[in-house]
Amino acid sequence: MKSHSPSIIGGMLLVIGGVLGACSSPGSAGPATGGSSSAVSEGSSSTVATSATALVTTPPAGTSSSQVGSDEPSNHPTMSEAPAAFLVLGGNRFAGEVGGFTFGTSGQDAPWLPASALDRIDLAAGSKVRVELDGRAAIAAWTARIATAADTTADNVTGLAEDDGPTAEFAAPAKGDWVLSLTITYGEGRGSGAYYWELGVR
Amino acid sequence: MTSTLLRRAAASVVAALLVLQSASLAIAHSSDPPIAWPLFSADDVLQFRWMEGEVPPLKMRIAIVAATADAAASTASRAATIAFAAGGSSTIEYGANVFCGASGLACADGWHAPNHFHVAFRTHGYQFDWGRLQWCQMQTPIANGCYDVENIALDEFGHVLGLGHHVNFSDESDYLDAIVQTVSRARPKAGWNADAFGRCDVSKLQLRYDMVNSARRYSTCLDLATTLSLAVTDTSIRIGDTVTFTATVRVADVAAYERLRTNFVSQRKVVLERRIPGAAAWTTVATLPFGSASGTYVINASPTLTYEWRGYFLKPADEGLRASSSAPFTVTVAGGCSSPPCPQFSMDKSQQRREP
Repeated sequence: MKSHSPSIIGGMLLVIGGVLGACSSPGSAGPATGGSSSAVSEGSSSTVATSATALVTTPPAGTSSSQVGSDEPSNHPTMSEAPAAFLVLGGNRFAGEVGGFTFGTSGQDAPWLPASALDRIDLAAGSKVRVELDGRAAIAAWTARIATAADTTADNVTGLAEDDGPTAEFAAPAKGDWVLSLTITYGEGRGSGAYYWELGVR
Repeated sequence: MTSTLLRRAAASVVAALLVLQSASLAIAHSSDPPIAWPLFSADDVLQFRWMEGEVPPLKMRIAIVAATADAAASTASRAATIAFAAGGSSTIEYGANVFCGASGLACADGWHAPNHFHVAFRTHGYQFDWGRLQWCQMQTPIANGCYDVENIALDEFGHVLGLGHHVNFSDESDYLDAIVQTVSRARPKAGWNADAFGRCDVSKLQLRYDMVNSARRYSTCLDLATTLSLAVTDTSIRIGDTVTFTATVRVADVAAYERLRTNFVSQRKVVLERRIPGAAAWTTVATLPFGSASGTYVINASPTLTYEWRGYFLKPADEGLRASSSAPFTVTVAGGCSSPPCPQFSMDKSQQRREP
């Protein structure tokens, strides 16, 4: 897949010369300085806490499962936070972990989130589950996919259900440990996001 | 020349347009959706600089600049060009505490669009809940599980240019149709190092920014209805007279086609067909040479019989355009053969021209 025409490579070399000449920083891997004060810290997640037993309530508008700091200088970009999504099972609501999304003025790219990054929700096979968003966006369309919890890189993803409608409701997968991903298209053309839960189906 | 021919300027016939009924674009599994920020101007040049104090390592800078070349080489549209410049108003940053969300390995921000953009990459080795981020360019040797900076940068540039994440089939069998994806893939999964916009990225860029010119190919992720009109210089001639058929192909006038609507379509294959009036079947007479004007195909002919005529635009195998045909019309030939066998229909291709 890697191929470039000679003219493109030539152009790249010219540009790269400028790139190198313009930059004196070694580009160390340390934290950002003098601009970013994001609340996200290395090795932690500010996602709304989830657990198999915790009852999670809808957060107030303006918070989400991918919360980042909002106290950044005005000249520094800030992330439009994705709406939070909740898996509703019986009377309980479990916040999903957001992966890649576009919403408002932001786009974020992320991998398939493995089970190790998620809290497990235990449920019975055939259970009806529903996914809802917080009040900042409506569901226009959705696709539910699953991979086994052991499949950390989602090499074998299976479509579970999908619909072009506002109600994301479907039956739990067969017995097993799964990662459930729901890709939601937000209403009014506001973008889309992928949300993840680990399901222990018994 | 007959008196009829003297009226040729007034005798041009423009056929009715044939537009297929289902001209709307599907939303799912087709072109990428738009992203919800203002679009940069067509043909604009967006210059970026490295954010002070948050400059990517050299190997990543090289890959990011390579992605700008990838973007320029593969938009197949008038989408803005992204280029490094020390004084650029847009920024690319690198660090642990960039503005991405908790799971984001890279992100783009269009808060200041269409003036400038911001893109951020997380630090090599950053520990996420989902694992430790490994950029392939920073590894020696490269190991599975790493992310290709060039691929991810191109994804971010897709956002910058107005692309939302592609809506895949539920089994993701169409993942390679787009590089702007919700789920980024690590080496060695298919697509991990794709370094050109996919066909459904390109289709949205074409819709939003327009084509470079009328001869360029439309992405196969599109399914655009076309219209074909056929004009002739005279519809009533005497045998031996020559008439000129001019076909014009355009993209149909459909709102969903955004900037592509009514575009001229040049340098494709259009054939001229005829039939005896009242007959059912059409016979292909000739392939029309390209005209000098955009979207036109022109041929001279000297019919020896009265025929009905139409043009037919064949669906190209390599692009997202539908076939179309013109409404038929009759060219009446007086003094001609009335009973077979008759002289052969003759074509004058001496005026064949190609667009420069």
